[in-house]
Amino acid sequence: MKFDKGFNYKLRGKALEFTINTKIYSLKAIYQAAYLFLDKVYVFLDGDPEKEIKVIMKLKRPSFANASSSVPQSETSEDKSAGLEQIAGEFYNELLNQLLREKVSESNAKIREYIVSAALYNAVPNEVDRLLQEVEEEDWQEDPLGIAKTWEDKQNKEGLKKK
Amino acid sequence: MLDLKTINNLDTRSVGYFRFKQFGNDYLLTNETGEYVFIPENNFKKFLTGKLGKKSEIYKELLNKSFLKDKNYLVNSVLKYRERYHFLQFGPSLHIIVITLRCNHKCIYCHASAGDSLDKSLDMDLATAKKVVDTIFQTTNDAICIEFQGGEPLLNWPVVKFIISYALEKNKLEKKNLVFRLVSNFSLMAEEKIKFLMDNNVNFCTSLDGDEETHNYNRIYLEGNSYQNVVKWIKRINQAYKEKYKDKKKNYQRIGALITVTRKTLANYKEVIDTYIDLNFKGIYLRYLNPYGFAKQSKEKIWYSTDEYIDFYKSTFDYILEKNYQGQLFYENMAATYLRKILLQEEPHNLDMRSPCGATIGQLAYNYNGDVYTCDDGRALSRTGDETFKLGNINANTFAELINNNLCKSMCMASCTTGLPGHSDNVYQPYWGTCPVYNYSLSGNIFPAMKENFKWQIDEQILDYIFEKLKSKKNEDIFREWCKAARPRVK
Repeated sequence: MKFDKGFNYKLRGKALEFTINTKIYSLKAIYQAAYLFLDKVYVFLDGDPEKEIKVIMKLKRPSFANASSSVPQSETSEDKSAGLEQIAGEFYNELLNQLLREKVSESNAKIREYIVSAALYNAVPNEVDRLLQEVEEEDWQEDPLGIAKTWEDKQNKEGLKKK
Repeated sequence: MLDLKTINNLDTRSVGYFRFKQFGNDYLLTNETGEYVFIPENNFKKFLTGKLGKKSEIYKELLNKSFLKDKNYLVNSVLKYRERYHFLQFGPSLHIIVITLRCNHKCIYCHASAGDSLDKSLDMDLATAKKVVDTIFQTTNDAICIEFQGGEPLLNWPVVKFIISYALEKNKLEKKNLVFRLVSNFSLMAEEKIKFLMDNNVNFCTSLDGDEETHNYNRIYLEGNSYQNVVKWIKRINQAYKEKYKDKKKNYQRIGALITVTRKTLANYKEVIDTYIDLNFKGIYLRYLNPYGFAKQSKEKIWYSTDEYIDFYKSTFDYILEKNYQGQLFYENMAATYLRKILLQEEPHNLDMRSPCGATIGQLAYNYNGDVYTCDDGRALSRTGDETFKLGNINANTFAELINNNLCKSMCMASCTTGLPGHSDNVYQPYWGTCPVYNYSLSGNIFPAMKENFKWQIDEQILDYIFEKLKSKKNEDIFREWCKAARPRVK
């Protein structure tokens, strides 16, 4: 059965099963997306992290405390299947969100660490400001010394020049 | 909707760190410094791929609010972040003293789990009180707030008086910014007590659960009508404030009141708000139940589901907004706390809505017998025999030992939302906190099992509602007035 183009899934009793290509979505994104569905479904992950991850979802009965869950409160097996399909679709959307979060987080990791360290560094404020000013003047965004380049990149370029 | 092409073309040089969620047709973005912006989907994609026109209004807004990186990004972010988390550099400022565990009320939800009103063995003695004050003054924080709690603290009035007098005397040398707060049901209030308390600038806080029917249902008082008594003293204290500050231009009314929302409150929300406004209060804190003490035991009678509470919150919020549209300044305090973080990027120090929470690093709770707890919630839990959150005892431990307790470090780790799964990348991370005692009480683990956590579900839906309302400029103007009104008043 197909839910949408490129999205194959199987219904096995009360569970829904589908796979995710790990060449497109990182394991981290898959784990984080799965975490956000823990109030709605039981999630089982399996497969080969190098190729694809198998996701099996089974609906939970909402407890008193999480009665606000958006899980369809249906009783028939047809409705339950529809509920699972909807959640699986949302799961795929959430994978995209998690992928973006991962990229934004990775590309800003160093600068975030710096901001927190500098902000909480218990020094005289003027001293921190002076250090910050120095960093700014060094034009870190331009990377004139090629510090952000990997060793492989530098070696390849030098190798090409020699040839 | 987001697509892989846009994500893979992320302009990493210009896009700073942000969190996001889809919000109707827009995306809501927040960042580390607490700024927020709504951005339509097409512009969101342009922002991600570095294609926003530099002269567009949205580009300027994103730049000003540090969502885009430019040459000032680093300095601005550091300064804002430092301002926001400045409290991490100081020790605890809030010191809650349980003067007695005795109480003359038997409230159906009692978080404090009060004891028998005749059992004087539950009173703090003078020697313990003196040692508690000596311990409090060892904090590295320049500001000290001593809060008298119980039980009903007025049942042990001599010790309340002693602590105020001794702390003031001690402060002549220490020169801290010292304030006092009395949390009382006012059933034992008297003119001479008001005079002493006002002469020493003690702030008042009481419990008022709304209209007479709701209040007396929740707050059982066998020796009289709890509602009529508390209203009488609220009016009397307001009058006393008016007389004291008659030469000032502003009304320095400083009495505070707390409501605890039970199942009984849900349908009576209009009466509750009207009662507060009639009594000249400027705001109300729609505090939901915590699963501690008696509240846990009488769950079936007073509890509600997430949906029921949220429906109540939204109805009450709308009713309050309507009052504001009609010219009556009145705010909901949980919303005002969030709004001060959202609109002003300031930290209101509501300690269980902070990251990390205030346990030990922001507050300490001293029990009647000298036992010290991470916070008042941890102390309340101890009444069920669970001493998980006990740091030590003032007779056995130094202040440094109390603070350096591994429990303090665990509480910080468990409540630092930047390091918690589900919280760390949530769009509301800059605004909310988590309470380890609450989490422990629900699941036996101080780290939150986030998605199944009643508090988490409520907090997220309240923030959704606040941001939905924030889209209107008219509401934003009103919310800015709420922020001003909710700020602590200067002595």
